[in-house]
Amino acid sequence: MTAPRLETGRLVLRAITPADFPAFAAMSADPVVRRFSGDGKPRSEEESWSSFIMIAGHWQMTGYGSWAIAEKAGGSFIGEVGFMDRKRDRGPGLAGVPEMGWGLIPTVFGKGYATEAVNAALVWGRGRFGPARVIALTTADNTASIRVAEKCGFREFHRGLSAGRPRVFFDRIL
Amino acid sequence: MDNSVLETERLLIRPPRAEDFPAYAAMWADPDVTRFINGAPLSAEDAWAKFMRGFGHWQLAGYGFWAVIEKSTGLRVGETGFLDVHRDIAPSLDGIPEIGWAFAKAAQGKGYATEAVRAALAWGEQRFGKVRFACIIAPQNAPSLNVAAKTGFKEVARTTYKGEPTVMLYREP
Repeated sequence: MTAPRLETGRLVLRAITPADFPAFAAMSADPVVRRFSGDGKPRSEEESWSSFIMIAGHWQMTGYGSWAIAEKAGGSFIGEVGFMDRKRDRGPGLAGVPEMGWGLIPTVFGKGYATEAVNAALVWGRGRFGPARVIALTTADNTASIRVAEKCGFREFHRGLSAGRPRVFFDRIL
Repeated sequence: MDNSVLETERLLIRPPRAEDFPAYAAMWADPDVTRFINGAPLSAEDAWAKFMRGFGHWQLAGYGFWAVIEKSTGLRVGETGFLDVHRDIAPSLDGIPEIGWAFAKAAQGKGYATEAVRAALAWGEQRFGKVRFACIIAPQNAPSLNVAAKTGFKEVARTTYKGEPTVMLYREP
């Protein structure tokens, strides 16, 4: 399956398309965006393509995954949000627990879009998974994302290393 | 997505399916398979990520890798297909359809790769037209260099990819 279309007041969440790739790659190469993600390093185009095709494959294999975020006015790619399970070892008790993630391009920071998109994905997730546990990881100094997590009902349950960097582990029940 | 199924004398070459994963993960965990391709065997989680990417590639590029099935046993013995990697490599492969293949150790030495790659190339000439195709192969991977030579590829450059020496080959129309 591919990502179903969801709408919020200002945003559309939809499946990624090949036309999104240049904007996705630019976001993934942006040091401001990447500072808080993964290993913290900007991604090459090749690394971005690998992540991009993973998004589509994840929906096909698991029936859930990440959406492209677009403004209703405009429609071009401004970020991503969704649920992933890459079967990585993230810590005790976390096997099979979907992990939420989100990211936006810097030109739309500060508008409350991440909160709006995460809330829409959570509503969909409740329908998909039922009242199940989901987690979200942020780097410990990513105050903007920590605020999004808190506004969306997540609470901190752990601090520790993930992919070699200090993270805050959040969870909530859908 | 193109659902083409290719058939040769001994092989069925079909799009991947979810139930292929155990055979897929076993093949990519075998150091004899990965020593010339990824350099190191894939963990189950890395194989799962690669497997998912394969499905995403079909969806977003419209083509990808097929599973190669041995008709006599029904076993998945390998894979071949076209890939768009956006490789960080010089000379650039942008705009040149790239083909690749990998076969399980037990299936090597039977001419399966040549048989499958020939079928894939014939499909590629329909899909992309009579154009140049490319592949990259580790210089010490004699069996794959032999497959490439038998299917019409010629070396055009010696370069590096992810810090390792690699041979770039073209097959001209």
